[in-house]
Amino acid sequence: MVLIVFMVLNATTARPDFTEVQAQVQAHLTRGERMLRDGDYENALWNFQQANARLSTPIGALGAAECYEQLGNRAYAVYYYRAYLRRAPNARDALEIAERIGDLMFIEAKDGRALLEVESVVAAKGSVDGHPYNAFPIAAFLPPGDHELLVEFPSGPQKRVVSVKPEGLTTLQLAPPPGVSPTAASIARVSKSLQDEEPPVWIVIAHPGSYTRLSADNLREIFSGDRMVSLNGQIAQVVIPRVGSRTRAAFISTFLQKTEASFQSSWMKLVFRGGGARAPLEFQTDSEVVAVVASQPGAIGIVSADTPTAGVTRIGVR
Amino acid sequence: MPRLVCFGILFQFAALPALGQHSMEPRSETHMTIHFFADVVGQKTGGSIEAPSTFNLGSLTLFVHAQPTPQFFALAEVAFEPTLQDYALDVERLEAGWSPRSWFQAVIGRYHTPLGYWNTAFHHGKWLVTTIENPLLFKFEDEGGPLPVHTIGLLVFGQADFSPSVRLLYHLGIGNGRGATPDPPQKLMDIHEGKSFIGALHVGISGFRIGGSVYLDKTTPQATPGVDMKEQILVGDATFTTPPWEILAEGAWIRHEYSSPLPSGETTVHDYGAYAQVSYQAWERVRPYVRGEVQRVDTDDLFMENVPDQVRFLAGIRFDPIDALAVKLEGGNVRIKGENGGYGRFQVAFVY
Repeated sequence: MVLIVFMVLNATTARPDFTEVQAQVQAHLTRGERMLRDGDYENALWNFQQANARLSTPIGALGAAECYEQLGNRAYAVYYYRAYLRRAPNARDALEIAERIGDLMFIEAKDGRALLEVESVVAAKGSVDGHPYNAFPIAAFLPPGDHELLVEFPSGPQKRVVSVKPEGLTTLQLAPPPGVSPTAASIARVSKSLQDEEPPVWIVIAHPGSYTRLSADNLREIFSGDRMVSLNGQIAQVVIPRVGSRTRAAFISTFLQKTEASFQSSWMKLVFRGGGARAPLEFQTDSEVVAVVASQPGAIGIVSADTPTAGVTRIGVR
Repeated sequence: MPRLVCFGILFQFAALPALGQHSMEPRSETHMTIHFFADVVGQKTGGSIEAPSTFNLGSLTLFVHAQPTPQFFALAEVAFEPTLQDYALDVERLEAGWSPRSWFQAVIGRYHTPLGYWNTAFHHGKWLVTTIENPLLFKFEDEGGPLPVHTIGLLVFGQADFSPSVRLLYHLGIGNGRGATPDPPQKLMDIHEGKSFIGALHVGISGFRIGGSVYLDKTTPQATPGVDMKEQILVGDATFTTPPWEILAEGAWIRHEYSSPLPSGETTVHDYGAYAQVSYQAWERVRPYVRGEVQRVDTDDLFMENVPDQVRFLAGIRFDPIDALAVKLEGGNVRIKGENGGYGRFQVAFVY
């Protein structure tokens, strides 16, 4: 009898194996996608979150992001779109997702708000300026400046002040310091701007009056230097940040799928063919790139997603 | 003296670091780019065309491109070509260009005639070329090529885009015609009042391009004193150049009409040439290639007496250990003027 009870208890508390987890995740993802298509965003989101809690998949992050966006929660939409790009850095729709991130952040930036993201490696609850969050991560658009963050660890609450930066976004990773158990965890602040800790996302901008949407293949043709491309009758003038820019490095490696050297040699071949092809213009800052694209017909450029883009057209990617 | 002037101009360019960039970087505030291309070849031929194994230097080619404003550009391609005793300096291209719109652009100077694809795609630096040598059809005039691949004059051209993927390309040009011999192009004066005319029309759909070119000219060949010759050339080409593929096929028909009968009694002769080349980037830095080509020259065509009949098949592989260096290995078989033999060769081509 004792043995039977032990076996039953053991069976009910045993960790499911990986195959079983995968099956559960797949079931949640399938339901989530169906509900998303049907417009049932609340229930779709619940399913995607269930999947995300079990396994980090690109589909789970993308589904959650789309649900949050449909539900009007831009902060969590941006958080999960960024999670999608981290989980699938070479996704074919990476540029489109980057564009959506840029759009959402731009809307909030116009109202003077920047994004704060807080993650925790241990289960906890928290609040920001008294607004409660039942679980981590926390994502919120806030006015730049100091904000009060309260975290309820199992060992007790801890409070600290977080400074939200006016540009980009501020991320906070809560982790127990080495040698300290989670129950005695303290908050380790590793707040950095996005530009400091991971490749930034980019957007494509063009001189007003040219295309407003291009396919990813067309964009690759324009920027790769394999042939001369015109934009509504103007010879395309590529404008990019200089070598050393993380925006440039990420764009060339993940979107064009070239090395810096092969990017340069492609352009050298094209320029020396003659025929009017124009070598890329390079500038130190994103604002210079925007200024040149705004002033020169046929110009098309790459800047980081949080760059103000007054005077230029942001190109959507099909 | 002219050489000294050219050297002087080149050193003036080189001595302007504030204007020029000597790296492979795209331009920023500065609008000038300078590069040198060079190559070395080693080869051995066998069969009835057997010759001692040999190394030879390719030409040292200087490219200069400047763009002082978005609409104006200047381009120079100067080759130092090895001869038996010395180096000969040849200004292969010297263009001043104006490009207000993609569909209306113009250059004046010495340019590569838009006959087919190859001649305007690769130019003189061998690092730019997948294979070791140009196809027979697009050998330069001083290498015994059959086509007028250079001319001095005016070229108007453009590209009209119907969608981001579909485009129409046109070229219309006039220039000095052929001289008394196919080489050299007439740099300083034309022996005839009439100019040569060139026109080309191509359609491009993404990486695929197809079209044709026509060249009309008149000259008085050295081999037929006092006898004029009208020249009509048609070139057709179809190419697909979307990585990793490079598929090129071009053919030319040359018609020479003499004003008096040739020794054979004919007044009109026809010459032909064609090639097909396929290469595929099998790995990131490795590109195998094959090419078959033919060149048929009428023995009665006295203007082309130095352009031989040839058939050539070759296969090779290009390896780029670094982006600025290409190592090419190639083997093939050539039949020239009835002689036949195989060959093997390598080329190290680089840019800096």
